[in-house]
Amino acid sequence: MSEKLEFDKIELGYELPSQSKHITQEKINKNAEASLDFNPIHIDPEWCKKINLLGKGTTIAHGMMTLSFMGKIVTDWAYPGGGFLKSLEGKFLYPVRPGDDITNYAQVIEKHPRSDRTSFVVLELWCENQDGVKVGVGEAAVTIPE
Amino acid sequence: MVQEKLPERFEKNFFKYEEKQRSWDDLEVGEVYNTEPFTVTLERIQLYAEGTEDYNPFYFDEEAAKNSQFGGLIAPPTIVVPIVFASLPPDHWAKMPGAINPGQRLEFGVPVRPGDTIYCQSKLIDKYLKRGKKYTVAEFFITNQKQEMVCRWIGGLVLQFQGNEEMIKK
Repeated sequence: MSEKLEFDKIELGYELPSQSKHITQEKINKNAEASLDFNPIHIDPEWCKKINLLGKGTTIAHGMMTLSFMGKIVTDWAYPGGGFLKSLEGKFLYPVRPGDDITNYAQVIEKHPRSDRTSFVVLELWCENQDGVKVGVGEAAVTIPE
Repeated sequence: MVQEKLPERFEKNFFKYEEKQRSWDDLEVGEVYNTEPFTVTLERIQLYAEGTEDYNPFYFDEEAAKNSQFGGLIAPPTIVVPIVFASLPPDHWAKMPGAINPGQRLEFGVPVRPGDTIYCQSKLIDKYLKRGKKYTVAEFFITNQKQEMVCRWIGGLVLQFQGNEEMIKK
């Protein structure tokens, strides 16, 4: 069991270790099966080419796949330390396509002390592709009961 | 071992119901959707974790999960995605070919656990035009078999029919 997170010891500005993901069509297809989202914009390269989807004519990854990556960087920190994910929010600014390398970042930006074991911190989240373009931004809140 | 059972009406081919899709103009704020409950198996949880490359031991390792703050195996928080897609009718706008996801907000209650039967109430809470695009916003209120809140999900899509001439006219 990892060391418990202690609310008082979490510092504003603390950056979680970044996490990177390489995106392939195979992984997008696997995510479609897992998430039951079979929209052709994700899984039908021929159709995307035919309609020239978003000006490039390729499939795009699920926005919720990006959000799950944004959530994972937080739960990888919070869950082993005894925390709970309270909320997760993401805006998707730029398409994620097969071949992209997406790096996820998270930083503690707010602390909300409470006296009833419901103290929580807010983390700013963002992810960038291999060109440094922000593809997603968001926030997560984590309850730290200790 | 519990076998997963998707609702009978569930359809993987989103094109099959494309012609039954209503246009953004026809959607009415306040309308509610006919959803079906979905029982989440351990296999679905682990398939979802693998599909999002999230190998947290609390989703896979019974012993580690038992000794955690959760007291047993749980699902990743975004497991609500397959739950909602299983629950919604096949001609719902969330399954419109070409719809684009601009962003979502999830507020969590209790985690989903293997064997939970999950219920999803959903209604359209807003629709708007912005920079020439047509947006929808829905609320999904997701609960388990004990009527505990699992998630309140606010989010929507940019709706645009694409490709098929007849549907673009719509």
